[in-house]
Amino acid sequence: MKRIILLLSCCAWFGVNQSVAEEFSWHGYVAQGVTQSKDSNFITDNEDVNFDLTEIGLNGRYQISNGIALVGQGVYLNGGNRFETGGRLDYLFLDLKLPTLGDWHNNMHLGRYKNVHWFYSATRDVPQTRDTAVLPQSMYLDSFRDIGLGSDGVLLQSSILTDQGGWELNWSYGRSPISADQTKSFLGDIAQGKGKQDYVHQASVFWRAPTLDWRVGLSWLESKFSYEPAAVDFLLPGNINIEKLVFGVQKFAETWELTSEITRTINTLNGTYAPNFYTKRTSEGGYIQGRYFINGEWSVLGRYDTTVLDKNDRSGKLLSQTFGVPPYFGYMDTYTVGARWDPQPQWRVQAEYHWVNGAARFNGLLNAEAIASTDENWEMWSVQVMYWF
Amino acid sequence: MLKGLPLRAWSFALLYAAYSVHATDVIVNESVSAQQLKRSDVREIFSANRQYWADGEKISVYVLAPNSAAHKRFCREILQMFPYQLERLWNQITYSGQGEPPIIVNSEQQLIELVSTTPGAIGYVNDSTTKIPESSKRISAL
Repeated sequence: MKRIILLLSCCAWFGVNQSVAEEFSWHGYVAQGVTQSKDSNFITDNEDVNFDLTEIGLNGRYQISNGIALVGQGVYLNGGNRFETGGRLDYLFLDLKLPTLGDWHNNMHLGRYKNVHWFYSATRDVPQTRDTAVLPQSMYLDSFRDIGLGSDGVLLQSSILTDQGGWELNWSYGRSPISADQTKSFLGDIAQGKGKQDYVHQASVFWRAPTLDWRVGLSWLESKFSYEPAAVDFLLPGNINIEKLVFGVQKFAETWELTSEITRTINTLNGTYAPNFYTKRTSEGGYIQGRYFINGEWSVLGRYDTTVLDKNDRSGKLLSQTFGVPPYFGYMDTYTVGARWDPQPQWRVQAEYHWVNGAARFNGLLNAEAIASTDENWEMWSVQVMYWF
Repeated sequence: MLKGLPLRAWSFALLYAAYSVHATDVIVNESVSAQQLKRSDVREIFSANRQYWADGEKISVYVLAPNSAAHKRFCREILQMFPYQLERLWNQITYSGQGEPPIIVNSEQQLIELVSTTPGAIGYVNDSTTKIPESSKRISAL
């Protein structure tokens, strides 16, 4: 992170020396909810009704010159067990406007950039942009929240909007820091060493219809993680390679909208659990979601979300034999209903209820506590009040 | 010849006549050199995707409240998109640090005043007969 700040400072200094107009703007949000997970510890360990649904964010954009801006956002989060509680720097990058090529507008983000490759990836940290507090876990895994939100590196964007429709091309290369807690979360409490993401390489293309009522996207991701054991450790050196494809489509109408994303991920694991351990599996998942606008203030939502960890082991039997976990840790189907009320501009109340069958998106297959506390069928709900400015 | 027109064509003709009398107009500050904009240009500007005019001047965008009838009409007639789509784009731009959303004002009179006194400003009026100061102008947006 220090390297990023140093690099951005140098670039910003260069930008200031070429400055023609400086300006600063800032925005933020505050959201607090009440929530509960029943028959699982997805949100809290004790299954009580609780207030572990807090999101506070402040972002700023400093326009150094017409072509250069420094932008960033700091947040405080409490999502219970869903992700680490505390403050973090969600993004901090230089937004560089590159020369246009014909009618194509080009930008480069240098620093901790945001992941723009999926429908909700760039704004999953902003409560009022999410359709539900808990996003569909097949695509937006909460335990990967910080890694999935963005990376330290470079993002290139190119877009064109004409009366014939719009295209957006994105390419990025970077890596995200992984904390000790996240390492334990992914590999289990027995992990004493250090996990790191070597790189994440992504590309995506989006198309908008001339009437702007359709949006279609395709994205590709390749990433490598490695594990370096501590001096005394049950685990061994190892790495995991991930390749992910996502296809998404959105349809907008006056009183309703439909969104769907489907994904296939190939996971290749070497070492870590045994000297010659090797496994390759293909995960599949996706969701379909509809929203109906009752009027200007009220809307309701319905969603089905599904995941299997291994497309050749949809019942989880093989997983159960290998890791000794219940078979339902190999799949997860979630049915969600929600309602939204916008009583005033910049104010929103959002409620949701999820019925879940399976536990494939739980952290750490070797986490004994999670295994013991999670039933095959479980539920969660939340009501969140949010204000933004 | 007119007697031969089907009822549907008459409906569209009447609707067009109604809108052409009281159509939504895009207005800009007199400092803006553009005389006309393509619909895609207007969409980019009002969705906060474009922050500067071709000559480098900053674009200041003014709109009425998203739930107002005037704003809905502007979205439908000029942008040809739904207001909630526009708000999504504003949020996406604002909260991923890529730009500034339009400034929401309380009345059309305030909007006209701000556009006419802010260099590089753009907005809209809901009636083609509405008078605007000489320091602002209507531009074609099709």
